[in-house]
This record gives sequence, structure tokens and C-alpha cells, in this order.
Amino acid sequence: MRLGRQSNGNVLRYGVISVLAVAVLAMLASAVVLVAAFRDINTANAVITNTERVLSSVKDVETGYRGFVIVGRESYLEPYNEGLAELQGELAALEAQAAARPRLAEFVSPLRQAIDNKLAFGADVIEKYRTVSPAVAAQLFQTGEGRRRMDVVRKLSGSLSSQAAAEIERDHRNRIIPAAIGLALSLLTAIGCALFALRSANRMRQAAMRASQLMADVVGRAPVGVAILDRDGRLVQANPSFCEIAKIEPVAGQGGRFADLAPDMHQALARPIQVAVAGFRSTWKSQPSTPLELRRGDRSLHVTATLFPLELGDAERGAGIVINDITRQRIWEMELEEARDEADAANRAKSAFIANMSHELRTPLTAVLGYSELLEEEILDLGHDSLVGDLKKISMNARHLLSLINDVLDLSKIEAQKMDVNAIDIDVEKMLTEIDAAAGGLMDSKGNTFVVDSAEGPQTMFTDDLKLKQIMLNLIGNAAKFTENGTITLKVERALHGKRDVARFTVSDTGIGMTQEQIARLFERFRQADETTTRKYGGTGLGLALTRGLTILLHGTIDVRSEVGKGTVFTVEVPVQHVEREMPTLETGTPASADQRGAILVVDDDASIRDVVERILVREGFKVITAKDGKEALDMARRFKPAAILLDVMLPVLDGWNVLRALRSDPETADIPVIMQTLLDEERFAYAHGANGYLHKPVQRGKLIDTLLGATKSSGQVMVVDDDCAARERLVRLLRRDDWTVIEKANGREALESLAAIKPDLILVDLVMPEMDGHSFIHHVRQNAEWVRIPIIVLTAEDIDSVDIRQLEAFTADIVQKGSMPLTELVANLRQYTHDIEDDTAAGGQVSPQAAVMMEK
Amino acid sequence: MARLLLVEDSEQIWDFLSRRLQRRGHEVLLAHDGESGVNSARASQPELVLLDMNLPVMDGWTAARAIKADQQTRGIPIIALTAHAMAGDREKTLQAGCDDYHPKPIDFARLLEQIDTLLARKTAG
Repeated sequence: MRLGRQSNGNVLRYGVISVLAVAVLAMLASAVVLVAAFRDINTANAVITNTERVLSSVKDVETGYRGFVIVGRESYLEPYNEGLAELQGELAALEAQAAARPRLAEFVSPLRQAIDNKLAFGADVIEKYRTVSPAVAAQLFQTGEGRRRMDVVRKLSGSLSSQAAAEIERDHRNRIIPAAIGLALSLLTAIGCALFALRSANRMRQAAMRASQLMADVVGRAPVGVAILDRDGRLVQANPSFCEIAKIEPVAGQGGRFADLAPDMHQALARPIQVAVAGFRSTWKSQPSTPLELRRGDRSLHVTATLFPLELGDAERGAGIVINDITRQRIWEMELEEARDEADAANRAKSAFIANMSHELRTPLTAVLGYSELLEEEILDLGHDSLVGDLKKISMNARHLLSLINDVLDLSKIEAQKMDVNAIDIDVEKMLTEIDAAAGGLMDSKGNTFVVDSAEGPQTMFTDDLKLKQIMLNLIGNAAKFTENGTITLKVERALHGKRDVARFTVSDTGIGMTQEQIARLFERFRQADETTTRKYGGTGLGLALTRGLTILLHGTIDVRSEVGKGTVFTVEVPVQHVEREMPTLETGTPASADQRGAILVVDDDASIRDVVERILVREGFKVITAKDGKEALDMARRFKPAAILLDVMLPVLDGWNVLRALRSDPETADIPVIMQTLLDEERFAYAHGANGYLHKPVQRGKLIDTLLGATKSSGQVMVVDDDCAARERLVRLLRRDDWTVIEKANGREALESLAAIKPDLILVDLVMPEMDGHSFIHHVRQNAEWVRIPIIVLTAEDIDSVDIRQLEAFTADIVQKGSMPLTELVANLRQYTHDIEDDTAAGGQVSPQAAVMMEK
Repeated sequence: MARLLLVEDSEQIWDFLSRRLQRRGHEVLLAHDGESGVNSARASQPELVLLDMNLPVMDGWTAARAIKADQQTRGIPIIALTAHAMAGDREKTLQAGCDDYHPKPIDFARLLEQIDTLLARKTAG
């Protein structure tokens, strides 16, 4: 829009300028034409005048010679001679004037001819008068020749005059009038253009003034503080919002020093102001805004300030400040943070509550069950058999209540992703026998028959047997609940879905069945097929939700088909071989696997802290296992023998100090380094109780790693020399994980230089490198007596020929083709090289460099 | 019948459980925390220990390890009583050195079977 208008303005401006230019040119042209025309007219006028003079002179000449002839006195020849003299000059002038106008020139020579004729006649008369006689001269008069010649002169001069007059007339018509009109028109156009230009310039000036007034108005009323500072820190100008935020009087503010007017703001902004004043507009890169908290009475004002350089005048520099009031936003943020903290706290409380529920609810129920069974026995002994039925009802209901609690707990554990899968090898037939036995009890009350068909099922499975059994029993129990005097069948088959090898368990009944709507809501929590079902058949409605949750946990699927009045079929498919999903960095629970040895055990009840610490450590190449309470920590320490334990003090079930004590009292775990983490200052207490390290919460990354590296025993120091960054990093990560301290070098020269200071236990070197390649590096190392015993392993990407191999073999412990064996295997075998040399040294023999190398082989 | 050590902190549970066991003719010694359980096992050499896992002072897992680590008490079979019927508890208790595992609430008939089995095995061994 703006652009369009601007370009329109340009078109207009250029248009006006070109029209003006054309008009001026036209004016000039008209003027030139006019001047030429007037000059020509003047010439023509002069021709007319001169013609008359010539004619008059000719008349004088005629009068002269006539008088002489008639009177015979010489004095009468005076006008004749004067006329002759004038005539010559006048004729010359006439010819000159007429020469410029060709149309007049053609008349001049005949005229001259005629005049000469006339003059010759006159001269002849005078001649005859003197030489012959006055009578002869008079006789010549009488011939009338003189008059005739004079008439020719008259006629020709008349023609010349009228021709000159006609020329003048034509010049007026054809030249003067059009040129005058042209001049007038171009003059008018030029004046118009000038007026237009003046007016539009005026209008533009007004528009600019209006715009800057508007902008000033906007700045004046904007809810953003805007101010201008000069380079000495004086406030040049400030809008009302700025004055309000800075708490300065608008009038008093102008010209005063900002530091005096608003010391609190100035203090926080001194540096940014300095930077902005020193900056140049053209090269300025916008700086991040500075947050400020200003005290205004009993409340806080949160603002952000943005500074930028300004050019105030010629070479006069200053700075602009824009202040945003973000108090409201800040309050929202704080409220949000508070709400989030509260929610986190509530969530933790919920988790803790659920964890405690297990113990707290089951203990009284155990007592209820125990006492009612005890009473049953005692009452039987006492012979009050009639009361036994009532006591059985108490214990039966207690058991039912217990199973409901179990469902709730299990479901919440699944939802909180705290339920682990413990896959074991299962004899399917044996499991089905157990299910059959347990299902038997479910069948009795309603006269149902239970049938198991496992002919086509797998013989063994690897999955969580308890959960699988729970799924089956839930489905069978469910079927039994809604079926009377019918048959409930459990069928097991094996199926292949692409690569998925699954066991399919089908539980079908001949019960009341369900409608489509009922099926749709079936797996929702606290929902049964419909509300009346709850009244008639009891139950919490958790059973199927739990069943589904367990199925998903086993990476299986569950499906249902049903027909009202005919019965229901539930189909569960579970992988025959359960495979743990690979989520090593995010998993909180740790699967039981043997290769967790040597890992760092992180113990904290806060899942987010566990996660953060685990991420940090994994990035540093540590293996990490986690535990969320003291008991789990002890258990895992015993089971996995971690390389170190990072132990939080505030732990549920068993606190950190107790865990530390228990670890130290057990010979199996007594040697594991333990680093305590506390919020409080309990360093001495920690060391007194046998901690190996101590960290304050919240944990700082660098300190954490240093402390851990200090606490874990290193396998040794290994130098990795390779210019391929990615390959080196891969190797280094593996080495670190295997407790090696690693020195990384990108080429032989760097490696050689650092050898002066560090003596690694082992060197892994690539052959092809810039600066200094592997061959010369090895050569240099072997020439130095101090380094000659460091085992070197060559890692090479290319095929090397047998000569090379023989040469290298003489100096190195091993040559490994990159990719020929997994890096993990290489790393796992590294210790053997250092051990070899230790054994060798222990043997005590002083060996030659060459021999040492051979021994390393 | 046998001399059993019941280590259980919940009064009602040790009360009814000891009474029911006594009705079956067992002699029941009581301890109410892990540490006194370990001490009592050492001092009175029971034939079998019923060990709750959630105990004050020293928890059941630690107590089981202590009993199994001690030359004098190593041979005494332990049945772990856990409040959690969670998968994995069984392995954990066995790993802690317990000989068998019984999830609460107590199925008394089953518990008697487990006691008999362990005592029979001990006699046989």
C-alpha cells in the first residue's frame, strides 16, 4: 500500500518535471522564432524606406538635369550631383538589405537596371546640351524617353515596396502569430507545472508533519516507556509511560541526569546504556532485553529494558530506551510455577500414597482374615458350629475386598508405569494346570463347566507368568460371573502375524453376552457393561481395565466379540517371546540383566532427578541403573555390584543413612564406593558413616562427574589417536564405559607431544592421519626408552599388505582391522594387554625394547 | 512340632498368627523388629524363621541376609512374609537368602504346608 503510493508520487513527480522541461524548450523555440521573424520584418521595413529614398534621389537627379537644360545655369546641376552621390550609397544599402531576403533580392537588380537607364538618359541630355546644343537637348526631352524610363523606375520600386509589405504581412501571419501563441502556451504550462510542484511539496510537508505528530501521539500514549538519553546520561525526552515507570516528573525529567532521576533503574541499566551509547546505528545488533525488578512501595514492578543507539544530532550520539511492563505476565508465570509445583507435589503425594496403600490396607485386612479364621477354628472346637457360616462370610468378604484393593493398586501401578515385566521361561501346560485349578473355584457357585483346549498352543513361552495368569483368571472369572449352568472354554493356539510369533488365548462363555454399546465402554475404568450390572453382579469394573493394562504390558492385544444372549469371546494375544522394549535412558526401573555389572546406581525417590542424573551420566559413557527407594537400592547393590552408588539421603522405606550402613555391614557391598547426596550440610556425618564422596543438592553436572570419576576405580589410562572424530568418539565412549581414562588425540604429532607429560597404559592408534601418520608415530614412540613398553594397538581402516603387517607387528601389540570385530569386543579385551605387561614387569626381567614388544605379542 | 521364630511388627498379625500356629502345636518365639529377630535367631536357634519384610530398625531383607551370613544361623530356613503380592518379590526374597516366600494376606493352610516342607527338607538334609 505504502509502496504503491510512493511509486505513484514518483511517477507524478517525474511527469511534472518532464512537462516542465518540454514547456521551457517550447518557450525557447518560440522566442527564437519570434526574434528571427522580427528581424526579417525590420529588414523588409528598411527595404521599403530605402526604396522610397532611392526613388526620391532619382527624382532629385531628374529635377536637376531638367532645370539645367531649361535654365542653362550650372548651379542647377548641384541637386543632380548630390542626388547621384546619395543614390549610390542608398542603392548599395538596399542591395545589402535585400540580399537576406531572396524574394526581395530578385526585385532589386531590375530596379537598379532601370535606375541606371534613367541616369544614363540624364547624363546623355547634359552631354548633348554642352557638346551639341541646347536645342538638341530639348529635342531629347520631347521624345518622352526620360519620362518613360522614370516610369519604369517608379513601377519597379513600387513592386519592391509592395513585395516587402507582402513579406511583412506573411511574416506576421505565418511566424509571429504562431510563435506568440506557442510562447504563451508554453509559458502557461510552465507556470502550471510550477504551481503544481509547489502545491504537492506543500502537501507532502503537511503529510510528513501529520505523520510525525501521529507518531509522537502514539509514543505519548503507548503503554510502553520510551525515552532518549544523551551520551552524558541526561534524559533528553521521555514519554508519560516511561516517567510513570521510572517515577519521575514529566517536566522535571527533561534534561536531568538519568542516574539522579531514577537511580534504581540506572544502576541495573548502566552497562547496557554504555554499550548502546558507544554503538553505531548502522552496525548495531539488537541486544537481549534486560529484566529489572523495581520496588514501588510494597509491590514489585517487573519490567524489561531494551537499549539501542540513536544519533541525536550532528555527531551527537545517544541511546533510546524502551521499557516494557511485564509485571502482570510475571505474576502469571509465578502463579503458573506455583501451580505446577503444587501439582508436582500432589502427584508425588499420590504416588507415595499409592505406594503406602499396599502396606497400610493389606495389614488390617490380613488381621481381619487371620482373626476370622482363628475364630472359625476356636468356635469349631467349642462346638458352636452355627456361627461358623457367619465367620466364613466375614473372611470371604475380606478376601473380596482384598482382591479389589489389589486391582486398584495394580491398575494405578500400570498407569504410573511402575509395573515391571519379569519374563521367565514358562511351561505352558503347567501354567494351564494351575489356571485350571484356580478356575475350578470360580465355577462352583453357578454350575458352570470349565474346559481347557491347548492342543494347538505353544509348549513353552518366555514372558511374565504371574501377569499372564492374572489376565486369564480375570477373563475366566468375568466369564463365570455372567454365565449360569454354561460352559467356559479357554483355548490356546499359536499364531504368526508377520514376524510376530504370538500365543492366542481365547476365553469364551455361553453367558448373557453384551450389546455393541456395552462392548464400546467395556475397557474403561470403573465401567461395567451397564450400571445395573454392578448391582446384579457386583465388582468394581476395574477387572477388564486391569486385564487390558496387563496385556499391553506384555506387548499383547485384547479383543472382544459378543452377542446378547449367546455369550462372549475374549481373545488375548501375547508374544511367545517377550522382548524388553529398548528405552535404556528413560526407564526408571531397571531390568534384571547380568550386564549391569559395573554400572552407576542412582538412588533417588524423585523420578525427574533420577532421569536428569541418568541422562548426564549416560552421556558421559556410564552405564546407569536406578532405584527409587532405600530398599530397592540395597537390593540392586547386592544384585548388580555397581561401580559406584549415588545415594540420596531422603528416601522412602529406608533412608540413605540406613542404606549406607547396610551396604557397609554387608561384606559383598562393603567395597562399593558410595557418594551421598543431601540438601543439608552433613558432609562430616557422611564420611563418618563410610561415604566415599559427598554432593550437595541440586547436583552440578561437572562436580557430579568429577566426584564419580574420583570414586570409581579406573581400568587405566588409554590414549586414542585417530583423526576420524566420529570413530574416535565411539571408541572413547565405550572405553569410558569400561572405566578407562581416555586421552584423545587427532594425529601422531599431538599424541607424541602429550606423551612427554602423560604416560598412558595403552595406545590405540590409527595409521592414516594428517601431520604425523601412525607409522612414524609408532617409530618415534619405540625409539624412546621410556615409552618403549607402552603397548600399542593399531586400528586401521584399509587393507595393509603383508610386508607392512610384518613391520608393524614387530613394534605393536596387535593390529586390528576396523570393523573386523565389534568395538565392544575390542574394548573388553584391552585389559589383557596391560595385564600382560604388568605380569611381565612383575617377573622382574630387564628386557630390550624389541623383546618387550615381542612379549606384548 | 517345631520351634518357630516369628519376626513381625504388626501386633495383631503376630498375635493371631502365633495363636494359630500354637493351636497347631508349634512353639512360637516372637521378635518385633529385624535386629532383635537376628539376635533372637542367634540366641534361641529356632527351627524356622517367619520373617516379615517391612520391619523397623532393620528391614526384613537385611535381616535375612544377616541370618544367612552368620555361621550360627545360616542353616535356619526362612519364609519371607511380604505385603506385596507383586511379581518380582519372590525372586527378591530368594535372592536375599530366604528359602520360601508367602505373600500376605496369610493363607494359613498354605503357610502350614510351606513350614512342613521346609522342616521336612531340613530334617532330610
